Amino acid sequence: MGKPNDLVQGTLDLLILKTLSLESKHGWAIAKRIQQISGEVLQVQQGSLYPALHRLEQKAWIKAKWKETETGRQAKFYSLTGAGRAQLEKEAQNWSRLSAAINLVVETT
Amino acid sequence: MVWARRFWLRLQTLVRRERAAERLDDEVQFHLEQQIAENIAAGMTREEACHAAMRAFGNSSLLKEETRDAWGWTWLEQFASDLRYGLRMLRKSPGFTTIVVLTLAFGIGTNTAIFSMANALLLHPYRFHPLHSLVLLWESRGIDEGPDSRWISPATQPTFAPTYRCSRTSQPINAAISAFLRKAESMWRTAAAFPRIFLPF
Repeated sequence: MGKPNDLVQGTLDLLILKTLSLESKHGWAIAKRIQQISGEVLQVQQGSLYPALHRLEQKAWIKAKWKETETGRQAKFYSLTGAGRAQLEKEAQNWSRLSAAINLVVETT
Repeated sequence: MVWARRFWLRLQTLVRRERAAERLDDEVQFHLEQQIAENIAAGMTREEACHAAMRAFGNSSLLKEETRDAWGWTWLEQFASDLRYGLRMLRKSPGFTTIVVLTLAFGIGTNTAIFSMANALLLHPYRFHPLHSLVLLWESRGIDEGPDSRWISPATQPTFAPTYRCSRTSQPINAAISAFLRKAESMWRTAAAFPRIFLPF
């Protein structure tokens, strides 16, 4: 399961924002993190992160900076902005509401 | 602040599009290398690792294109390429181009001319500022003959000319004066002999 197309529209944004809320990361690390935390359930097609990342950057919810990694290579690190933090809170609330509602419908016999 | 940042970012991706595209290539390249390194560490051969990394990434050229779409200038690029295509097509058939250009020029010219005329004659026939202080002067020969008498009659032009010049030089009024005469055929025009003189007091 879990091609990005199967993700609910907008969910990828939420996952990215949440992943970046702790520390700045480059694209690959974000993909890894989402995969690990979700217990390998969410197999995000790695490349599809980039359109989303750049869209979020354009909206100024995340900002990007080229920095050296531990291996000495240049990589683009993304981090959350103030506006991004507010957006994360909003989307997280929306998600809880939505998933709770769906649960209610599904579990009602 | 957020809008300023957004504006700045969009400007960057517009003005330095080549640079932004190169940066995106670097970014994707870095991602693949990371994945390849991880795959090799997990025990794959280099070739296997490359293939696996690319599989995990997906169609990279398509995804890069989608990413560039996210910068929001695709419409402009498409417009520019449409424009170039159009110009190329026009250059290929000069006869057609000439006819189109002439037709457009004629159409626009005619419209402009007719509108200018309608604007001056119908929409703003009395463009005087302020309109209520517009006055008509004429000479009186002791009896009131009205404005149709000497000022505007060609027959009285000899006497009317000095009066006009006199008014031009000695009038203390804060105004502009011009003269006109009516020809026998009742056609009104500004008297060529007495050009419009505007007195800036």
